[in-house]
Amino acid sequence: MRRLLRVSMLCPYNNSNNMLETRTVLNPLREGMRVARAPEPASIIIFGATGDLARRKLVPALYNLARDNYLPPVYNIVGFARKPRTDDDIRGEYKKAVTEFSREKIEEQVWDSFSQNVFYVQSDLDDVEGYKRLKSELERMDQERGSAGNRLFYLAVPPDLMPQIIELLGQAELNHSAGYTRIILEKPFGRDLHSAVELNHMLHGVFDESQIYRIDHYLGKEAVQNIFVFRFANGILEPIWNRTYINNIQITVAETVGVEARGDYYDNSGAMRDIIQNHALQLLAVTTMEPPAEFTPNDVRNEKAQVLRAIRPLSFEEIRECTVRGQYGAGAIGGLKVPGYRTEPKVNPESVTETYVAMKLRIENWRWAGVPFYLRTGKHLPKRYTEIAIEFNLPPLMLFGKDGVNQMEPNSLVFNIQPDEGISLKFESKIPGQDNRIRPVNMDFRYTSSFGEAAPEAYERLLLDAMLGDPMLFTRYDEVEAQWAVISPILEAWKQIPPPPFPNYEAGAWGPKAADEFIQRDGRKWRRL
Amino acid sequence: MLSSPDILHLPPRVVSLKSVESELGALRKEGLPANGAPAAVLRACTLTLVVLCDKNEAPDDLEELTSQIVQSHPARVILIAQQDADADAWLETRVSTYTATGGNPPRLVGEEIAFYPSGAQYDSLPSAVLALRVSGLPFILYWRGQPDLDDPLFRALVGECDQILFDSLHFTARAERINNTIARLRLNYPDVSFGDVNWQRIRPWREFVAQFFDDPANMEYLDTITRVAIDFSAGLTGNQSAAVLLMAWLASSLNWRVVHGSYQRDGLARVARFERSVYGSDSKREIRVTISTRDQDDCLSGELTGVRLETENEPPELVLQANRAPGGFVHVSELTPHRFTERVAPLNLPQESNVLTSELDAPRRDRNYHRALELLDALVAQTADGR
Repeated sequence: MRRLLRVSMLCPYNNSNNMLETRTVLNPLREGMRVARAPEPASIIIFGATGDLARRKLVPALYNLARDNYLPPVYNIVGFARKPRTDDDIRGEYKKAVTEFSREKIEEQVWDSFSQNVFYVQSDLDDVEGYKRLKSELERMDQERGSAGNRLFYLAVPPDLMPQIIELLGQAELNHSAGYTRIILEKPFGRDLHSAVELNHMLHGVFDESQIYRIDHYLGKEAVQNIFVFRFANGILEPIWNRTYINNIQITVAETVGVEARGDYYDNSGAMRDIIQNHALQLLAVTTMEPPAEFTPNDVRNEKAQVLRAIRPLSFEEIRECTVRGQYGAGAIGGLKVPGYRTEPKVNPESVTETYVAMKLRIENWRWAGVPFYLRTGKHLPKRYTEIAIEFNLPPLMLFGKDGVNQMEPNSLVFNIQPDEGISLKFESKIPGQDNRIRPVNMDFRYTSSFGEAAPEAYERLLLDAMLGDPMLFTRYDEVEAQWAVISPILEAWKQIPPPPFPNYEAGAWGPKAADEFIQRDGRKWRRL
Repeated sequence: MLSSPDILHLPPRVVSLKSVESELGALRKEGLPANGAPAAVLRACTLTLVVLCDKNEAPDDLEELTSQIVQSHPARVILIAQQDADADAWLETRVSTYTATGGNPPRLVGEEIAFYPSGAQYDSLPSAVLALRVSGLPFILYWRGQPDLDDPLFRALVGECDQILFDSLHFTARAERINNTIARLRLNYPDVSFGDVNWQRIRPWREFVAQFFDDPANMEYLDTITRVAIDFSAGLTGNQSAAVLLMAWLASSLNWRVVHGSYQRDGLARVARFERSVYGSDSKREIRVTISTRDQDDCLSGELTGVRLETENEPPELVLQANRAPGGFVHVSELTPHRFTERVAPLNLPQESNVLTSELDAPRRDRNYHRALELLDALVAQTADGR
């Protein structure tokens, strides 16, 4: 029988320093199971335990993991926050949260069992004594409950609080333990390239990169993970996945919501920092990266970082030509009137923050040279929709489009990321009849109809991966910095280029006119969604 | 007519054999006249599934199962229910469709063709079935009862199949003989893969046991297991195949060897002894596995109701106990030198359609299943009583 064996490998091709991958030889009874290995006993410590993210996403995700029997036999979920709460208080609050937000209905028996593992430690987030109390509480749990010294810190807090928390975790010696210690950070990772580099530097002063899990929840979505499979498990695609066959790629992240209660955060951030810098560029990286040598975290992240580095930063003139900013005014969404951005709560009435961005990028490498990548995102657009659309070149010879009757449309392959996850292929087809009229038709694959089973929430997958020590779907520091290297010059240039008169699109419209004009200048148009 | 909240099953229509395709085509066009919704223009199909109904089972009995299967695996489903074998040759054919109504437009996810052959018509059915296979997609045969490998229909179809599924929970032969059926299949049809739905049914139990040993602190105790108790619900049929499979999985995964002549049957109960080498020593450690009945109302005959593992010494240092509780839950208790924990977890595979679709999704040749069967082979071969 194989015996437990840990093998530490220093990956020679890894371009991040000190990246130590630990591989554990598997439990022989795990062979052939749904997951090849399961997480070890651990404490999951949520900073910002009483906040929105914890209630809406994290605790429901942990409950569903417990319900599906993915959590280890021993686990402690420790809430850490400023508000005074007892263990019973937080259990009651979390029960309400799970009832309201869980994708699966709450089961009383499972909840009773789950809630026994939920605890609370009250402390100001800037009080080192509170961190020391947390440490001794975790050590007590390790002793009494058998959580083996494994710790996963989740920083579900606003970005300005992160540096201090990281610092104090270090001061209280919570950055290492008898087992593993890992830290999950929510975006945004900095405000620009300079602050991102600083944040990474500060993080690396307390934690090794192998301990850091920067979450971009888009990567936890089944449809995004399926892009890897679709591209690299199907032989028909890679030969045409390049500038010879692909005309352009459009990535759209459309939201129907406005800024909701996050007016103060959003007004300091904007659509470029909130969506383009992270989600949209990660989608771009997954779509355009080279095939990794192996499907391992390091290889995949190396390839993503490589293609992100190959995005050519825009010059000042190009930024003027290739980016469009928008801000919504009053309008209607789903038949209901909504106010304009400048009248949203906690938003500066003179704000010039963009709620819409459209832009064009180019990747300068062998595969993609010359192919334009159009990115757009916006708030209060008519439809909540995220997709990656790959538009192919028209055939070299137009046999059917000469008579003016037939309008040939290019083939397109669309990854629908949300809400209706799937893949569509559009191609031309003959309309039945005596003549040769043609029409585009869609061939659709939908997760819901093809697999039936509900996909787990992105946070479930990502939390489980972090517990298992699998960072593949988390963003590495060099990816973050490469993303900021693309975005920071644009933000800098925008400070000098006066914005268009805001608001320049009505809530409920597909963005400002300038966005349509901008893509039309290239002889193209946005996909109609 | 409505089999599940999102699936609409139109009433089957009696048709002649030669008009099956055209009638199905017409049904596709008719769409959803009942509620006036737009016609189902999208047809999804991932496989052809031929289901040989068990004795005394009619295709109508399988409506819910079929609708659940096609919801996750859009398919053309061919149901075969043999009628009176001594009657005059006669074949009744019915067609119907299953439509997923949740999307826009609705999707036609299942085409059902039900055959009711009487007399000698049964023997000539394979040609009809093969003519209705959807080209280029997997062709899967699901035999719901005890497979009769000499059945003419089975013999005609098996060579054409990509996968054969059966459910040892419905076998009427002794549980230990699962391997016998499989061995014959493997010998005669080496290119066909086969799967036992019951293997998926015991998956949650395998996971409970495996999960206990995921903790590195517990893993070293894998070498010191000495007692295993497996309970199953005898119900009306008393089929122990799930319990026997769990025992065989555990023994084969942990390299336990059968102690010659140790296997004993006493009614529905079983006792087996295995041995394993002690790491770094010449001595051997013996493991005793007992299989007993512990009935429970809300589970199928033959389903597992509990498993308990103990290590050596009295009292044992390590105990894992998982007992099925009413409502589809499992109470899991774990005693280790470091802790005692209890928790409740749902048993996630209560429905046959889930179990069946898991088997459809499973790797074509599950090495662990075959290793377990090989161990059963050894168990039967080395035990006079087991023959």
